[in-house]
Amino acid sequence: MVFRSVICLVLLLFLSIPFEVKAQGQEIVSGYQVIANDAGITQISLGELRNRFKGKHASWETDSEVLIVLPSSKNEHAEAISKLIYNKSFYGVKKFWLSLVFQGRFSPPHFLDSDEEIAKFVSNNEGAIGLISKGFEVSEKLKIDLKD
Amino acid sequence: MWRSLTFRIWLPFTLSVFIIGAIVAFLRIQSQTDLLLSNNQARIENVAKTVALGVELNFTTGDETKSLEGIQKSIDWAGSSNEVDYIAIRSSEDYVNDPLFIERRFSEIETNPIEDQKNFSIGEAEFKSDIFRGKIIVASKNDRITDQIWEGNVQIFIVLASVFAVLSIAFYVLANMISSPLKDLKNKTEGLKNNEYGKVEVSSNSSIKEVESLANSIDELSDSLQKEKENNEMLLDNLERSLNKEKHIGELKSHFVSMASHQFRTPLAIIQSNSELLAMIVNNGKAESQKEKLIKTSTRIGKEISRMTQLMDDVLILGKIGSGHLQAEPKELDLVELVSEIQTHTSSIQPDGRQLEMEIEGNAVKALLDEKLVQHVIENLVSNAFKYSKEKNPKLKLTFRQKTISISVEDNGIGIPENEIDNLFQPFHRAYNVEDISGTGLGLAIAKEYTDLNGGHIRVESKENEGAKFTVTFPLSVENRKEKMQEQMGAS
Repeated sequence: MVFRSVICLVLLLFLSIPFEVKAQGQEIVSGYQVIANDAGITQISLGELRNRFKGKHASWETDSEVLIVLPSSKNEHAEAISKLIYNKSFYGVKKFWLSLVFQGRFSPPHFLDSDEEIAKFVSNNEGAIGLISKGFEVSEKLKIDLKD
Repeated sequence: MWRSLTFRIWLPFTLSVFIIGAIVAFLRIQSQTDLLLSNNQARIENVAKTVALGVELNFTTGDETKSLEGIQKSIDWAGSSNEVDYIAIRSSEDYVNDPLFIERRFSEIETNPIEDQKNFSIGEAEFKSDIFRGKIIVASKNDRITDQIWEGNVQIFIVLASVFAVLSIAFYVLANMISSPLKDLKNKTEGLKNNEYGKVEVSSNSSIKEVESLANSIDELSDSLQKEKENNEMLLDNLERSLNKEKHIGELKSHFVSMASHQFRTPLAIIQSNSELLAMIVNNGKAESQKEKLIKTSTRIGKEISRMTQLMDDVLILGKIGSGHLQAEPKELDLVELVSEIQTHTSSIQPDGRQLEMEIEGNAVKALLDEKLVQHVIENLVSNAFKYSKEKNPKLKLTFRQKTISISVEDNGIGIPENEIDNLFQPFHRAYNVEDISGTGLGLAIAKEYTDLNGGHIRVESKENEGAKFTVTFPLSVENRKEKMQEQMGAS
């Protein structure tokens, strides 16, 4: 009986981890908003968002080239967004992109210092996608809803 | 073909050129390969250093985008414009915090260059940035070098092949030049096989000293053989003539012996019969009554003995002449005086009172002749003229010409049958129309021999029953006489 209770408890514990991560991700994501220009979508899931930021798709449905915009080391959100999207430190993200760029698989992302620069860059470049603070005012047409 | 001189000269030269050419080509390719590999190695190391420098610089810009773009450009440059097949970034071995190994292939390569260093030229360069430190590894396939070598050496191969072809042809021409005079010699000396030495003339105008020397030697050999052949032919001819002569002499000897025995037997038979008759007269005791007969018989015996003695003398003279022991001893001779003496002597002893008529023509000169021999010849001819003629006087004519002296003795006697003239001067030969007239058959033979010994010649003109004319001619010139004498001696 005790053994069964332990097994059930362990199973519950394992089952509860994704929910907890998801809950943490949701919590972090809740602090940011996704913006994209001419991406042809109005909403995107977290998994899809991660794939886009990891360079798994070179273009959008609108045929625009995917331009990834990330916070630079001078940006206060650098570590948080690195953790959210790549589940790595900012240093790990740089190495990740070094690997992709070195292998010629993707153009380097654009590392920008502030939400303003990111919002400005996205609004000026078709196919660009980035994350900025939720409270930062941007054009509605750039905003992409994050699906649960 | 394999045994021909042309091929044997051509082959080693051509093979040598081919081997030298192959060695040159091999060394050239080898050195070219080493050089290109060395150059490629240096180039790849430079590319690695450049990329490492680019990575290091870009990592330290502080701008993440620019640093990655710089690295991207650096890698793209290295891959697109430097014939680089492979680039890798590897963390330093001591950089254990977060090891990294990234590689990029710019062309299809089946093996990992780091593990297959035989087929790749590999350059390495270290870099150190604020993110991490490590090294750049750049590799390039050596196949590219091989292609470059072949491309670079095609011209060399063409040049070497052309040189080889030209030299091969040149060697063939040269070999042919060397061997053709020998072929020529061989063709020219074909005549030697058929003993046609005189037709073989191989004098070569070859520029090759040895061939020219060989040709001259063959020429000399050919000349020598030709001379030898001519000598042999001459010797053979002489031998044949000697054999014929020997045969003729043998026949003559046989004839001589036969005739001599016949000539000796006749007087012996007469002497024998007369001596028997003498004995019979003496035995019958009638010597006194038959005194006259006795004297006649003994006189007959004496005559035959004289005849035999004369015969023996003549035979001995012929024997001396035949053996070469008798030589003429010419001295200045007054032929007019000699002939006059003979005329006086012979005319005085003729029982029928006939005289020798004499005639001299031309300016008389003295001649170098053997008096004894010439006297014997004239006396023989004069005595024959009296012996074989009757009633009319024989004539002797002495003719002095510019170069010769002729003595002719002519009679109007029984003459000589035409078919007997050729053998008239043979020893013991007597014409059939003189069988009733005594004689040895040696007189004319001796006369001819004596004439020959004095460098003269004797000839006869005659018709049977009309008489005969014998003419002896001597050359006046000493030289002519000597030549004639030598000819006569050679012929004998």
